[in-house]
Amino acid sequence: MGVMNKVPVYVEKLPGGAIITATLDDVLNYARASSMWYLLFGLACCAVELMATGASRYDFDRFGMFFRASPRQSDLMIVAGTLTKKMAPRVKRLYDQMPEPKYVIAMGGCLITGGPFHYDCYSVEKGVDHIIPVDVYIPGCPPRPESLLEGCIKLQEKIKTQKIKDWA
Amino acid sequence: MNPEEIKRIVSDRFPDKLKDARIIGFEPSFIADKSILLEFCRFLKETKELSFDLLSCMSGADYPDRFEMIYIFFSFTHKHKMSFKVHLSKENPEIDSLTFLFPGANWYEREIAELYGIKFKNHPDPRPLLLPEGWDEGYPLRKDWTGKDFIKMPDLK
Repeated sequence: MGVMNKVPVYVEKLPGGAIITATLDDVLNYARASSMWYLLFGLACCAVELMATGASRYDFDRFGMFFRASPRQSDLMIVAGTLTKKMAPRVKRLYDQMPEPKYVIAMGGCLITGGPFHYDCYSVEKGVDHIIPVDVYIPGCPPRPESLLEGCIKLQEKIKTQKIKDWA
Repeated sequence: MNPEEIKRIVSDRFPDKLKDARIIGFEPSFIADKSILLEFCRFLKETKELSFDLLSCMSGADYPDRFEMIYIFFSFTHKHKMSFKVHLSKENPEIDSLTFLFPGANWYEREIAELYGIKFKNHPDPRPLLLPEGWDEGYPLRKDWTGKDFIKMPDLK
């Protein structure tokens, strides 16, 4: 959890307490990166691996990550599984329903290029980035929970580099 | 009833409209003429010794020179089964709907109709079943089909 501890702060000790000075960027990014609530959203077999990562053995909770069943309460969308063309408009709608700031992790080969469905297939969308913007791609079929955790750490690193002046 | 008896009863009833009668495993199999489909299925369903009351599977297939419909029947009464195929022309693939005899055929036929473009006459509800809404790229399970972002497997030989 080394990523979490690198917030530059200045501490001024006073009798009975302390004043902490930090930049707003760091405080906001620290808050965002430490509580990425992800949308409970599985499309195919990758979802089973996502569930395993959320359960006690791999334990997403130590990153402050917890699933929400509603897009209105989520910050992160882990798209897990094969994205069919029929499902694509629903994914777009769920993404649009999430409040800003929002992040997307594409989990598994199907969401990067179509994976095993790349050739000779009429029903699978060849990459989720045709539909919504993606922050982190995790290859694998399906990726191991360790890969998913690695992807989440990469996303936290990305969040930590954000600046308020880039918001506009 | 054993497969030889089923084969004999069915062949005797339609001597000139059935071809290629044989037994595959425990399953009598025929190639039926398109014109007798409804009469044939009614015979299979309503004859006491056969009483095929379940249409357990129904498929389409695309061959270079023809379309094919494959029907597999099962009888809960006698615990036996049989199958037959119907050949359809490439130019005008059209066949009678079985939904009035076997209500379970309804969704099978809708799926085959949208994936192969085989028309089912007198189908009660001929809407598409599985493809995305507003699909306008043709019939994807045909061998010569290509779509907007369809990528053919390269020849790896």
